[in-house]
Amino acid sequence: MSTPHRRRFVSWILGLELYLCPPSFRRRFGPEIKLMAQERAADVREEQGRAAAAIFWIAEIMNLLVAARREWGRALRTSAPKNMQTGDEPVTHGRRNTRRTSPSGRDARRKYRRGAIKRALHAVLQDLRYALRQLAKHPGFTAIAVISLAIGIGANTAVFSVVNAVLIRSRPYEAPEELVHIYTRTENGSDYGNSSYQDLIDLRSLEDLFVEVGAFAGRTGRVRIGDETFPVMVEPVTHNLFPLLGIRAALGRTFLPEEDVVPGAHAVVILGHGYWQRVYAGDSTILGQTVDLAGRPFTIVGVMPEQFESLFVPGLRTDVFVPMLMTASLAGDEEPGLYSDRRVRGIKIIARLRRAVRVEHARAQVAGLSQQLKVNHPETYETRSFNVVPTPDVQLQPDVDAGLAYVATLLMTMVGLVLLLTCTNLAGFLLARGTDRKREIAVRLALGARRGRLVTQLLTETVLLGIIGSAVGLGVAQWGLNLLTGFVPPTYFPITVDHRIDGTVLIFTIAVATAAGVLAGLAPAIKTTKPDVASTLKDEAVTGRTGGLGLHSGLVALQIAISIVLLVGGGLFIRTLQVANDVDPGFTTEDGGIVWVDLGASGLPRHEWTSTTERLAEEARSLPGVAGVGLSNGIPLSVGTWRADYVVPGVDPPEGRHGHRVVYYSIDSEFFDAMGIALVAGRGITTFDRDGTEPVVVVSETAARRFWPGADPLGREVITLGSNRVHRVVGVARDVKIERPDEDPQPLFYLSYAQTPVTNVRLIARGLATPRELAATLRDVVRAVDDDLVILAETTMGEQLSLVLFPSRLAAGLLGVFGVMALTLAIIGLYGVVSFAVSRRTQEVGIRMALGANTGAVVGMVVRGAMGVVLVGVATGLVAAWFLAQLLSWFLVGVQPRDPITLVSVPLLLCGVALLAAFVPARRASKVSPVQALRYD
Amino acid sequence: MHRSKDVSQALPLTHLSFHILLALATQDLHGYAVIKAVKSNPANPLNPGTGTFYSAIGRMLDEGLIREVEPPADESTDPRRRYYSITDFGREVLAAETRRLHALVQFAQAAVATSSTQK
Repeated sequence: MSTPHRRRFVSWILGLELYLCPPSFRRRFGPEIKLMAQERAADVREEQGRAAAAIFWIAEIMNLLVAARREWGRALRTSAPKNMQTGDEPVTHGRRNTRRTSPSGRDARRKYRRGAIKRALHAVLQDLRYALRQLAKHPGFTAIAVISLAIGIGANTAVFSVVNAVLIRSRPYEAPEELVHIYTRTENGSDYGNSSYQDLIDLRSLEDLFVEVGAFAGRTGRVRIGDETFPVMVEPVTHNLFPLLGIRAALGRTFLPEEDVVPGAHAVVILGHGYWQRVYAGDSTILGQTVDLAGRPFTIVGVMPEQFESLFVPGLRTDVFVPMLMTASLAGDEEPGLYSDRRVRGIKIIARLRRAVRVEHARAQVAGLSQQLKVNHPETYETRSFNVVPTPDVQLQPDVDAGLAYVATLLMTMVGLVLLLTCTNLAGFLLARGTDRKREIAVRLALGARRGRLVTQLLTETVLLGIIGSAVGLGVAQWGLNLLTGFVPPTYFPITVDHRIDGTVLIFTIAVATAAGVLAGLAPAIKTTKPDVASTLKDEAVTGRTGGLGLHSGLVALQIAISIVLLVGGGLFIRTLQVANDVDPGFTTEDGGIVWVDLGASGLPRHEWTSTTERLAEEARSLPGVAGVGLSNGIPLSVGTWRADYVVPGVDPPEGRHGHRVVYYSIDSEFFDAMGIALVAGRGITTFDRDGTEPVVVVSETAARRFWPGADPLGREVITLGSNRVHRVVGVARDVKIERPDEDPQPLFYLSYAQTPVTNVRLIARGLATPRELAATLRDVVRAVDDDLVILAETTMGEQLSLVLFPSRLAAGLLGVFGVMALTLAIIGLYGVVSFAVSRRTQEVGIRMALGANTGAVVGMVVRGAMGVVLVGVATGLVAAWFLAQLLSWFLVGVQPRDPITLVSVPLLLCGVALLAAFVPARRASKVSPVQALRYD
Repeated sequence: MHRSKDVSQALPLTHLSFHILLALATQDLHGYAVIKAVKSNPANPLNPGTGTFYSAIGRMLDEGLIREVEPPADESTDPRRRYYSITDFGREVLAAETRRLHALVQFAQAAVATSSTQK
């Protein structure tokens, strides 16, 4: 945990503790105590270092607990003793009054109630003290229990804090119930698409419906600091957006209405909090300074508050905000029709309903507007309409949210299982220790202690363990989160999920800790407090019975079940990786260097894109160690796929559509060579396919089969929907896997970059140098050609390809580690149970052997007993895995969730290990000499 | 507020109360300044926890040994900070406690001297 986080956290704990103090004390000194504790901690840190400060905090937390107890004692002493008044105490006014006004039963009742509270409080404190003493007396046990609980609780807290950040924590909007997102529903099936700027203007005309209608968009921009250019995440927003949401700038102001009227006129910028901290170190005097954004000085007018991240992609942190009408300036004013063309859909709209307006009413009215637009602009709006969604129902975007909720469920299930495992493990320990404490408890029962009281006391101990475990677990969680953020794949912009541990997470953690404490402690507590009082007190060894083992065996079976579930999950992902590795993707997976460049964000006018990319490729090719350089807007099996709608003459588009939606790559003449994609007919893209010559397209085998079955595709035509540009088919290329290694081949069009330039290009270099070196070479070339070019990423082919399998790899790793952990615990448990059973049955074994049973029979008997437990666990685990595996289907590549190989091999492996664990003590049992065994009791 | 004017009832003072009164004997201080003064007492440095400290402050306020005062006008200070001052009664108790301790020390010295001569 970083220092401010830690400070906030302990201060929060102190605040909680103050609630344990009498209200009068809390009101009187609460704020001062918090203040002083912080000041003292700061001083200790300065004088003696961080470790001393940490110790100081722990001491403070304990000290306040002690003080709370003392204050309650004092509060109860000063308020209680009306009936115990002794003559020598002065009678105060208060007391005289009480006596006069309440001679009735009310006073007695109150007194009784107070007494009951006092007794309950006393009991809790007594239990706590006793529990603390018990834990301190067995430091080894306490340490192991705390560590294992910390891992279990920490894993839960870590995952939950991410889930909380992405799915639960409400955005800091004012009266969110009045807000609605207005998406555009389009023909290609997306219900939550972007809208056009003209749509915004139309929606604003519905004045009796909305107080305000605002919009935002997401862009890449470039900022120049000194001699270097950095990509930044920019969000153009309408001037009224922040007031509409009820968000005020943390520093300075938000945009003014006049700054959002004339396109490109007002170069003002608001910084995101993170960017302000990162680049300006939180300097509060930056207002009025300028930022070199897209080659233009933008004046800083404000800074956003910390809790406000991004509207466009919550979870990412927007670096800077600009007025909506400055959008075109970000790309060198190269976007004609950005504000006027209804087909250009790049903004998301959000509106605040008038007080009396219900969402249903708004939906109906907006649908009316959609109808009207259909009539006025049939060519654009025929298959397009607005979709009103209440903002509280939106986290990222409704269709994405479902997927996220699904992933969240999966992760929570996994860590939940880990916690359950920890609890069973702890319960096993407690059962074992219960045997030691039997005598103590028998004595107390014999002396008249109520069983409920004893159970409460034992539970206090485990819940306390849980709470201590959760405190350590918070540290574990923070560590795990840092680790996980390190794992995050290289994307355009670093994903910085704000997974801070806030109140919700703390409440969750405490609830989990308490539940874990109860879960781990309840069964052992009930079991331990039910001893055979008489025989225990007489110190009789309870031999010849295996009664005490039922619960233990149950726990072991449960652990085996959990390990089956986790291992089956891990196994499925390992199979996924295996299958994916065996697939022929249709291109060479040999490693190479890649650089992504955003030409538009670099401020290059569109007509210079082709010449610039050609220069980049040429320069790179001329360098030593570089064998080939290809260029494309996309690479198969990596994130980001471009699609467009095409009309294929003579082939009907799918129902309800105007064209075929096909993936396209805009490539240069060397791309096929650099990627090792084979041509099966015709020619590839050449340097002669330029602007001005006939547009060409190379289609994939599947595209050829799909659109021209049984005919020669060469010479046919493909028309881009919208621009109506006609492409002539000049070649057929081998199929490649585009999105997933297990996909069925899909149609793919390769266009000539010179004829269809796009803003986003990737240069791919192959050669003798290492992929990293090649990528660095490419970067240097880009810098040398134009140091204003925005480099979005510098990566390698291997990294790109691994991204597709990243979730599988991560899942296989996590499930594998947890699964092996579960297996180990289960096997240790099994070994313990079998050993214990064997030691209990020594006498029986002796008699059997004396009667002529041979070694094999004895081993068989013991192992059979143990395998009973194992089989119960395996069966339970398999049933659970059967259902849970279905949850994983979305992530599995080329493997069925109920993959027979995994479902058979995992239980077999587990049974094998279990056999071994049972065999060792069984063998020992068979070595028992009958004489010795019979003498045993 | 319960305020007993009988000095003997307030005796003996706890260690911490004694030191708090000592710290406040010369000037009015806020809580943390009192702790600093208590900690820096060369004769017997104490380092009470914040909870313990305020527990003692609360008791002493109730007993009328100290009282809360306005912060000095020349100091700009956190509104959560509160200043304390010793009362006349507090001074009497401090003096009485000092006498008691002095007597105790004298008695102890005599006892130690006797035991060492007996050896």
